[in-house]
Amino acid sequence: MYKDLNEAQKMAVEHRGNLLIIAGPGTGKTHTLTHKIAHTLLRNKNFHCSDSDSNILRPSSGTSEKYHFENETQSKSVFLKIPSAISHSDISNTRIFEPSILALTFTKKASDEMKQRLISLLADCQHTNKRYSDCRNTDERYAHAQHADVQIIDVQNTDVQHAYDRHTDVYNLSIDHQIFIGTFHSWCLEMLKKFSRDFVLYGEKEKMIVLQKIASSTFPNWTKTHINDVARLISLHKNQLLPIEKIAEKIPLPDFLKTTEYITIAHLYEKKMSAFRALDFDDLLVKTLELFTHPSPEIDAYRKNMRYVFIDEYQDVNTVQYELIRLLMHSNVAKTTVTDEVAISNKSFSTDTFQSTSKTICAIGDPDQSIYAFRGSNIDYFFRFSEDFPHATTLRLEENYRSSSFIIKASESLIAYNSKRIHRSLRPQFEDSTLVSVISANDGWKEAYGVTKKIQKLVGGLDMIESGHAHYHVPSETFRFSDIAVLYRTKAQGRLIEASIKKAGIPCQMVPESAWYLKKEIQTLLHYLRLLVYPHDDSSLSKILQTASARQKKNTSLFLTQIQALMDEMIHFTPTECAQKIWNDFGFESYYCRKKNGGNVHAKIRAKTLNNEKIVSDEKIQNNFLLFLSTSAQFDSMKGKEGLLKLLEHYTFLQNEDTFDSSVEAVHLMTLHASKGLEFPVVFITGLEDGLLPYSTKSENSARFSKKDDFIKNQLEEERRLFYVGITRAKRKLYLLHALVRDEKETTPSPFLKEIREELLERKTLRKPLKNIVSSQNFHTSKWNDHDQSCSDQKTKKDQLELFS
Amino acid sequence: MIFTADFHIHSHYSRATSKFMDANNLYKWGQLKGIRIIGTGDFTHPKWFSELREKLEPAESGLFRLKKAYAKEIEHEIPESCRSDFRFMLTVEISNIYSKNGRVRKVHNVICAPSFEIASKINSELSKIGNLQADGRPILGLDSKRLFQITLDASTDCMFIPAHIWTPYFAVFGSKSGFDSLEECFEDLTPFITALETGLSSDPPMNRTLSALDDFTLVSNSDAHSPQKLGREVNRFDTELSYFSIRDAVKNGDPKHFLETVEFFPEEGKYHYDGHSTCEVRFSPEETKKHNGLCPKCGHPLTIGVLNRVASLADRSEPGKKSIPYRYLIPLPEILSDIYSKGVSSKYVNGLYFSMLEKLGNEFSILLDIPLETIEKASSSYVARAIQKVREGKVRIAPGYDGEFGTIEVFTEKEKSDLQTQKTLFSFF
Repeated sequence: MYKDLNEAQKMAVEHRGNLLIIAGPGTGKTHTLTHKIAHTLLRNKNFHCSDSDSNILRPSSGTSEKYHFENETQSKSVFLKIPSAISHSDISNTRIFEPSILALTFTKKASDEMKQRLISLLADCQHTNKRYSDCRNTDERYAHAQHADVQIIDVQNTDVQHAYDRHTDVYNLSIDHQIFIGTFHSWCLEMLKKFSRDFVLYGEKEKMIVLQKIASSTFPNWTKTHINDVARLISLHKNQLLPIEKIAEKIPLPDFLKTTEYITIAHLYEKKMSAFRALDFDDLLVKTLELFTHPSPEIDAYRKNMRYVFIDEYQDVNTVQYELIRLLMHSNVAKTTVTDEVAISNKSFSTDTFQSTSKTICAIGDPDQSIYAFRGSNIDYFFRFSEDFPHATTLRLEENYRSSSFIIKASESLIAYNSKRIHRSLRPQFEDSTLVSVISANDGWKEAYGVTKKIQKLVGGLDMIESGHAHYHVPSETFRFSDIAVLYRTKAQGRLIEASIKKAGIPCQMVPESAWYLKKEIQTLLHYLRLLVYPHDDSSLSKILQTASARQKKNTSLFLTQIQALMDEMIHFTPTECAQKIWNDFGFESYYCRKKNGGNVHAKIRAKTLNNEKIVSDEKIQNNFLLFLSTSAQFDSMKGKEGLLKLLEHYTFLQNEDTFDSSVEAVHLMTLHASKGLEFPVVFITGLEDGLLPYSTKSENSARFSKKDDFIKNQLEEERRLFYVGITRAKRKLYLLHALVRDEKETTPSPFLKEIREELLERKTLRKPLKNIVSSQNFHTSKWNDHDQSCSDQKTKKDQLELFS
Repeated sequence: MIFTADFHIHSHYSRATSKFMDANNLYKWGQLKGIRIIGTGDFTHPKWFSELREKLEPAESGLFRLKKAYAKEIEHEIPESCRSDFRFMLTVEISNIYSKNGRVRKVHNVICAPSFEIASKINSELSKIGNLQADGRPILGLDSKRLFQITLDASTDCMFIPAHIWTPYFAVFGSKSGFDSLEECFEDLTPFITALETGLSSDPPMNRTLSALDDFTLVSNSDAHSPQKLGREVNRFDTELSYFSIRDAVKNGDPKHFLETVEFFPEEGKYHYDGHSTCEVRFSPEETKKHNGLCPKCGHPLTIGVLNRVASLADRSEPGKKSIPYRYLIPLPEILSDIYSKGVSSKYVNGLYFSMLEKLGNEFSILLDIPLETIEKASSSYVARAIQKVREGKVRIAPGYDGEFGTIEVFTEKEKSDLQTQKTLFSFF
């Protein structure tokens, strides 16, 4: 079991007692944590048996008796003794075994991965290590684990589960019902379902609807952006456990919002939510915390039963999560009022923890990768770990197995500028002398174009001629599309890059992506078609009326007659003919294209930057429609209702499918935030300009905060960590790009670029404007200067576009 | 009925193609060339798909004809002598770039579909996977086998043809990013492959040195990016005029129905020999071996051409017996260009070309069927002599290498000067 671990990792796995592991990027964080959980899980059996003097009631699969919890529906929760020969069906009916091990992550992806690795690790264990008697039960465990999954699916019918599944990462795993692995939110949901009254869970969408309703009566002139801001603030104050009234002292409010206004709307929101008996996602944490602050015997039993707590990404905990962990670990302080922040900073529990001997916490994380302050994460909790938990040991994982040495050195020299950190250094395990490329482009589009060109090179060319050249330039290695990631600070940057990459025909995957058939124009078109088939479908009609043009709205009766006429004659039309008719007759083109052109800032910017009117969204909408026709023509053998029914069925099915097919390879496009926890052989980081990275907005620059300097310094360090996260995603090649002009304004390169030691960098310039960017003929002839000499084809020389000087 | 078919071409929606690759011009040039059925190419491109649906109408089962209204627009540009009842077949080429067994693979595959409905089904699946709007030949990060599976799921009537299988960079057997066997690429679907496309740089005898290919029919297509290059290689059939008869003829490889393939001289193809174009190094496989595969001028690895690649995978020195007959030709404009030492697209060559078509009929009939005396009467003995030499295969070709086309020489310098002394030479004009 330990053969895959290095010395430091092994030490961490075998350590007994509270432990903080500082695990830098690429040091095997999940690997170590999973091993430690497996180790604990296997050792726990012995632990249980020896712990017979304890009068705590808990499940213990090895002993002759099992205990389970009465169903919530019965009057009062009590512990019941049940026979040991408990069948699976019994378990699934009750599923109330208390876990003694809790492993919490921040994302569903992380907990999924942990589960996968744990199961395979335990399966391996069966073959390689006979020391643990219970290894023989691995299959059984696996069956249990599977069983637990089935349970989850079983309860999906309830509203709560449904809302939850739609919006976040429900996942938990119970192995022998000893362990719960999941996200903070999924754990809290479980807790509330067990120990709290009935409630309805509202996802982000429902939350927005509630807020919109409130705003429409109190602040009628607010736009969606305003409401988004308010939603974000509400989430933030909940996560920081701030009373609504104190928000303005802690969190900068946007310009449009006065403190009193915020207090009004936040109170109204809470009132509405409690009237609906609804909880939003942040409430899951807050309400669970309330369970712990006002403990019942059941909660006490639950807490006493808990022996091991594992927290992944500890640098990302926010106040409410921190309090949850603390209360779970220290039952005697449960009655402390935690809503006051003072309580958090003043209390230290190193001395009076009678439970501390029987409870162990292991937190793993990297303070240098804390990038979620905007969501309420507080890196200070990481630094306080050894004060909070007695006799805590700190271990460092410093061997980096991911990146080549120059990338590590670059990241180290950058992060050294941060003052708020725990010192550690990374030791690269792969020596490589590939320099980090810093590329400056004239503007945003050229930057995007440079990335595109480089990707074409990296994959060894996309057509014959390109391949011929690429062969001599990158003879040793070609990368897959999926080996490459392009990272950026803001989503708007991503759209430009996406446009360029897609234009070149390179498959790419933007995270998150909305499929073409989910676009508004196609959805509306489908509503029309649905109305033709189901004339009484009011929801389609109302959707249609929402998008109808002003002219049509004025004359609704004519509009309806038009639809009626189409209904009457549709028997003669194939589905695509119907679609074409609707597209033409109901003014889709003018409606969508004009609207987009007028309103969409990005379309405007893009049109300007591209110098090519044709690539703007008008054409995109037209293209989506053509794509709709070319994929719908398959139903044209049937006319009228029959064909339309088939078509609608097809699209309904399509919308419920998971569109992302992981077996299909594509270049990844994502924000720096989204890249956390991932790794790629080749990474591009774009937009390294002051104002973008570090990012700053007007309101942050204004002097509205008393602790202005501090705030800005923290902000800057957070942005530096974000850049650090980006750099450390790269395994082999790293390209850092910046544009000299963005959105028609001159920019200065990011100050962070200067912080990377110069000898690690190789600087290039992308020059000469590209007149006809989309012309395919130019694609293969332009090239990167560093390979200039070897290739001087006479024919291409003439129209060659030199990109780099 | 005897007719020729070219399945693999690209529309003007593909990268680096002529803007004249639209339905009307395909209709025109197909007839000038003497091709009866032409693949549309690019049916995954939404705009091309919609153009095709607008302009074509169903003809014989699985085939399409240009609607009268559109045919009229272009008819006057086609000499009477060349006019024929021309058909389209729905086809597309997909560029699959993906990794398998630890290496990056780049494979091009051609798909033919018998109806818009089935093509649309394929489009629908592929639109979920990748971007079909950027390029008529879409690049998908999709495994070739999955593409084949998607094709079969859409309809088992589709033809699936791995394209120009020996091209170094983008082919199932390519030396750079291909496989060593069809099974490695297509696994259990391998037996369902309709046919293999030889590409310009290889010919049937080369392919037949691999016993692994004995079970597959070989087809020849032009992969044309401009109208003038249509039918550089074609297939000749003697079947009923329908998609399904053609498919059966291809699938069964019965020489009774699949008469022959008309080939480029493989040496003329861009990747026949090994070499390095920048340094103008052109090597036969033996020479490459002598230089350890490196360019003697710059030391970079040479691009390994098709001849070498075939030899390295071949398991017999002589081609196997079973094969569709084949013959070689050189496009007429290239012959004219060579013998008169004028550019292929020069006015002079163009003038000659059209005047011959007007007098004699379409290009294929001139190159393959029309008696030399008739040709001589309609042009000159010089031209007739050249066509005779091409028909007999008595031309000299400097083999193509590393992306450079091979150069042909119908007459040697001596022959040329001999002929030039004859007065008849330019009587033609």
